[in-house]
Amino acid sequence: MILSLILFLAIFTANPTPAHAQTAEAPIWHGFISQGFLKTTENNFLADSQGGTFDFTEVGLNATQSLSDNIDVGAQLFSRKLGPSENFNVKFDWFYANYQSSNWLKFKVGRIKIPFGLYNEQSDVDSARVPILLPQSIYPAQSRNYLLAQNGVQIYGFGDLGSFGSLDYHVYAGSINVDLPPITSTAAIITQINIPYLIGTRLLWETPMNGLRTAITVQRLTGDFDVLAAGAPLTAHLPAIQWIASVEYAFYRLTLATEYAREYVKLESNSPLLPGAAQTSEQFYIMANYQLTDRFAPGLYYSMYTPDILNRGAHERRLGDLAIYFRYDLNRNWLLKLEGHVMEGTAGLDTALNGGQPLSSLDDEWQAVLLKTTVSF
Amino acid sequence: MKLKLLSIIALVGISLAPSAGWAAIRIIVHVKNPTQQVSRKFLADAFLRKITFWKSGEAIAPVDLDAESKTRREFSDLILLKPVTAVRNYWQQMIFSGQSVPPVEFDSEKRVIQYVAEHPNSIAYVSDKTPLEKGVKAIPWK
Repeated sequence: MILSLILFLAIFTANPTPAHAQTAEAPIWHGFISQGFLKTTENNFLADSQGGTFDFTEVGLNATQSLSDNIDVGAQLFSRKLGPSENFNVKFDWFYANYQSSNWLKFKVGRIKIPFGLYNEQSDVDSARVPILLPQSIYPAQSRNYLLAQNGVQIYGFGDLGSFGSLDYHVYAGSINVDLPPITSTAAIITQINIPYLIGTRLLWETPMNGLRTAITVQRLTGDFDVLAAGAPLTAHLPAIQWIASVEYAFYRLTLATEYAREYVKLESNSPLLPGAAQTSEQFYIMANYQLTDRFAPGLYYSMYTPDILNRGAHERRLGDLAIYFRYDLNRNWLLKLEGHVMEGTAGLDTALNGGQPLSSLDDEWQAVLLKTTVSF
Repeated sequence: MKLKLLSIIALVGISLAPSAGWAAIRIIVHVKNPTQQVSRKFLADAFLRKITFWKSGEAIAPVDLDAESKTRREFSDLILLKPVTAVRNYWQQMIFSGQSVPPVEFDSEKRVIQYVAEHPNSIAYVSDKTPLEKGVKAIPWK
């Protein structure tokens, strides 16, 4: 934590400059603080939430510096409290050096947000969206450590296709350091997770129709897990392929979006205690947001997560989520949000948060209410 | 029935579209900038920093007015096809995901014009009622 702070300050030693007074030469500083409240009926979700919890806090501070017309650097420190999984550990959320050769060809190295689908890069930026939680089937809050950023390289660019619109592309490769406390399930304890490589691409086409864009993302990664099963240390190897198809239509104050994803995961291990297996999961949502006034925006989405497409029957094999939410901006720096969820199913819930009970024994119909306020500059 | 349907479509259209009554927007660049004309799409991509270079290979330096400015609101509606609030959310996404930072921003059109006059790669917008100064030129957009 202290090392992160020292490094951060060492990189950007110039005087902090407020965003509204920025110049091209000085480092530009931005930050945010969020405090949320989460209450659920029946099951615990993300935190010990049945009794209501304030264990839902985020704070971030970033600085970016343009070194020339072609080169810029940046870094963000981030800390979060979300139930038992994260406890205000300060870490580099992202840091990068970026070189721009042309509109079509740019390079970025460092710890970089993964451009997976339409919204993964902004999934922890509360002030950038209307809902508190993005659709959890595709952007699960508890998987932030696995999915949000990679250490590696990215080649990207944006080009005008004339009457065919524009094309935005990203190609990326790297690894992910997963910094988590041990994860306990009914069968085993995961003591360490490492993702030694990840490679992916996103092609985003801005169609000639104003506001309509569509994207396809494909990603391949391998997860290495150290596991304690029945007291015996084991290693598991999980190659995975993920793809996601996305469509968004933003017409002035109205935004409609839908995404459909599948993930194929194979389990390979060195022990009969963890027999090999393969599974394909499915994720989907449809969302509508409307900026009713400059300050007030309501929205709603329906999201469905199916961990195994060959076994959809039981309630622990699905999680349907109907959410309605409201955002109110008190001013340009401070916002309030209110959100309600009607859930059906228990797939993806954390058994450790629910007294170690198997997902099949949890209540299949439950609700969640969230409140959140964020100050950003 | 058809009349009812048309009325509903008209009402939805009115509520979604930006309000009418534009003041004309004038696009300005440095007097030495060889660009003769720009498209609305080029302007939108440049001000959202999706494109960052002029055709000549020089970096584009877009200049914004303060979010409270009437001209900024009109530019946002007319060129970016989004309300200023949506553009602010877009920049929150870019800023906090480490992708980009918004254009430099000034609270008066006079300062915008001064900045453009001093920075050869810059591009900005002002109301067509604002007098231009030496060192900047207006270019048409379509």
